[in-house]
Amino acid sequence: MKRTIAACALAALLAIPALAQDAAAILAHVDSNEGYSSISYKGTMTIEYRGKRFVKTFESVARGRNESWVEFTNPEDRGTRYLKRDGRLYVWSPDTEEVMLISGHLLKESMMGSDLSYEDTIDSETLSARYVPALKGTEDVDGRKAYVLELIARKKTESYPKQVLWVDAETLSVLRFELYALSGARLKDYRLVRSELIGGRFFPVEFEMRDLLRKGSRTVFAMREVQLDVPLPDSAFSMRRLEQ
Amino acid sequence: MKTAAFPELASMAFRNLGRHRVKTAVTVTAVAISVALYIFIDGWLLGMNLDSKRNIVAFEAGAARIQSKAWFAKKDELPMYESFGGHEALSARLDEAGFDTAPRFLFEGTLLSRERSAPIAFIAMDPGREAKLLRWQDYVASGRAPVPGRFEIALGSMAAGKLRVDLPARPDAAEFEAMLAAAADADEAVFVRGLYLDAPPDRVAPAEFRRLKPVLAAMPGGKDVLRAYELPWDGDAWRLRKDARPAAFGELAAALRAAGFDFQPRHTLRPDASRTDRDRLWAILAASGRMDVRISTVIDIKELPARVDASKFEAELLPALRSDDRALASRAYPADPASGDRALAEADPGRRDRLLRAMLDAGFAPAVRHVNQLIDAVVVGTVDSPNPKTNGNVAYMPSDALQDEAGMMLEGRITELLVRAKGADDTALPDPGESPRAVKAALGGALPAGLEVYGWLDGVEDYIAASRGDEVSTRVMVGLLFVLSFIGIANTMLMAILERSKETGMLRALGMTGGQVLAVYVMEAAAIGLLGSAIGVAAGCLVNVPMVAYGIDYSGMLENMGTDYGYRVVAFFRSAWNPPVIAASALVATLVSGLMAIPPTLRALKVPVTESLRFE
Repeated sequence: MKRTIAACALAALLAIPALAQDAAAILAHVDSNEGYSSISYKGTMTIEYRGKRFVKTFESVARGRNESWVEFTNPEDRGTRYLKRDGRLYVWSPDTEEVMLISGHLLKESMMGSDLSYEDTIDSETLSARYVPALKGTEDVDGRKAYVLELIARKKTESYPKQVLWVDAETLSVLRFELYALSGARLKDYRLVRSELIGGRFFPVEFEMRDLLRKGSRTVFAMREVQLDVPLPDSAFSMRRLEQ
Repeated sequence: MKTAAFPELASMAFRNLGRHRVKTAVTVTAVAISVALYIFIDGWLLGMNLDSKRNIVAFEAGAARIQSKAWFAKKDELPMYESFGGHEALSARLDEAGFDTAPRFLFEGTLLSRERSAPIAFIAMDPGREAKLLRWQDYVASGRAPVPGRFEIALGSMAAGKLRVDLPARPDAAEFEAMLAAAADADEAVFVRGLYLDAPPDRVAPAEFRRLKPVLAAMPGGKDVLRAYELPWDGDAWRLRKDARPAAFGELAAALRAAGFDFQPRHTLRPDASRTDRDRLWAILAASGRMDVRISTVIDIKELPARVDASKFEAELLPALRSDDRALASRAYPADPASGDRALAEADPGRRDRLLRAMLDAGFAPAVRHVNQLIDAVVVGTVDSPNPKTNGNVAYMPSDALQDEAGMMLEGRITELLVRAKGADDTALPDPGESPRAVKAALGGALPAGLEVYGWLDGVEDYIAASRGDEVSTRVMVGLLFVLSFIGIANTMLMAILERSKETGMLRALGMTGGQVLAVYVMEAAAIGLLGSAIGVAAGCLVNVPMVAYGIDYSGMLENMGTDYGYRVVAFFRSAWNPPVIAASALVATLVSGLMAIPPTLRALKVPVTESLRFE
């Protein structure tokens, strides 16, 4: 009996680091799955808010996690451009014909009326670098087995101190995640609608975001003509292009 | 000029006034209007400024405030990362020196009620110490002030109305039904219903009103309805007069229904509802969750960034730093040989602090991190004080509830420490013993580096700008009026002197000197000024009496302007007496009027006597 208890205790002790290692490995896979050297795509952002529906279309290119370019093409917002480089986010609006730096509390504002804030678009570091993951078990998400990862920020200055991820056990795609405030209150929800096998990895091409502080609001992002790891010139991310 | 001739000259001057009665009357009226207007405007501005200053001291700022210099330099952004700790030692020192102190932490966020959201300036404070120094807690119109240790909010009444976290004054049918549903039992429902009067509709379409008019005119009580409505200039709809008596609402509504007008029931909170009744209603609504809110905000934390992009380091950070700080930054952030990016390698706390300070002073954004925070709270009262700033988008919360991660991670830090002499009179402005210099002296060198004592006027630039702007524009306007009056006097005198050229020549031929002629005309003009001034002072003072006692009700206008119009006055703008200005305006008007006679008289005296005698 004593031997059985000792064996169970040993197994439990061994299981803790093993589970932790699994969580870190899963998160590393998530990072690599969503990482790319470059991307080019055309996108649609469908915003539903207070019973109204707004559809915005855009074209985007990005290089690594630090450089990206978005230009809106729908009639209402045509010509509005965003440039992220050197960890900063700039916007050029055809109304003002001026480049504006989005910084400080402005980063908390909704991007183009969507459920995404500017800040959500400028994180440069990987999740593994910013969070300590813990595997909380498995759950069923829309009929798929998913690992539940709880991520606690490594530093108390992280924008979202806690995240919970549901990672597809088969493809290691993020099926769902939740973002939390410091108090532990849930702020935002993400759900994967569709992913595609691109370049040997499952890449999210359609997903839904909900800002839980905006009642009756959701935003669906859909990407098409996605090209990963294509060469992009430096001029694609230049201030000159933003101001043209 | 012989002094003995003065009475005769004065007599001549006064007789001349009577010879040109119409011109004299017109000019006297112009001077009187100018003087009266000046007294009115000056008293009005003085009254508004006095009330505003008193309200700033009593509701916003105290006599002085201790803030970090860095916070003060960026105060429009409410930079919470520029807060400071150790304020208790300062408070203890000031307490010994005879000062009350109130610590505060200011931050911005969005307040989300069940139905709406609004940007709010939050003031985390110690309710007990705040009450010793400021008076807003005496003006909690509904509910009560927040209690220490709880996530409770006292909200500005205007914000509370917008967010629907107050006692509804005029709920629509759906809201009223929801209120009745919030009642825990039938007794409570009866109580809620009894607190509201059946109100007639606010607006009636012109066509409908035309149809109702003959019916109402013929029925008992119908004329009261007709008197209770007015058609504004835009003719859009007949509207219930603002001065319609709520006590009569039930009869008005019944009469309209009897006349065949079908309208949605609208209710009005009884104006005679007692404080106890209002508190009970607040408790009923609070129990239903109506007063539950969430605070969405970010906690700004200053921190040396672990990594800085190579281009950002070179192009943005280094040029913004002083030369010695540049060297410090370069040493603290060695370049990664592979990527060229800079990684923090400095371990010395002193050098890290200095570098962080340099980055913040240079406005280097990555040195401030923003952590999302969402706090559940409950609105326990609304503030409706004589200072509009407290009634707008402002929320007061107990700071002790916000110290840890469930709150704002304040950890004892504050953004300002308000200071006022113990037992200071609310109606008096701070005296020199409460000045920043006096507070500093009381601290006796205990003020840490980086902190500064600021005066109560240092943080209210909006008021100063509004006050200066209004003062300049109104005084310029009244000054122009004065100029016009004086031009009138000059014109009157010019005409009078020209008309009397022959007479002037005769007086000079009979031996009157130029000086005596000049004296007659100057006295005549000065008498016009004196008469005008006397009438103006009397009229100005008469207007000022009700203005000082009652003021003008601007509440309708202020509803549209909100709370950010600079002045710290609500509803009634009262004037104040300013005896030196009243006396000076009369004196200046008399003197300047007299002086206006000099140029035309000198011109007339240049003409030879013989030529003057031939003047027709």
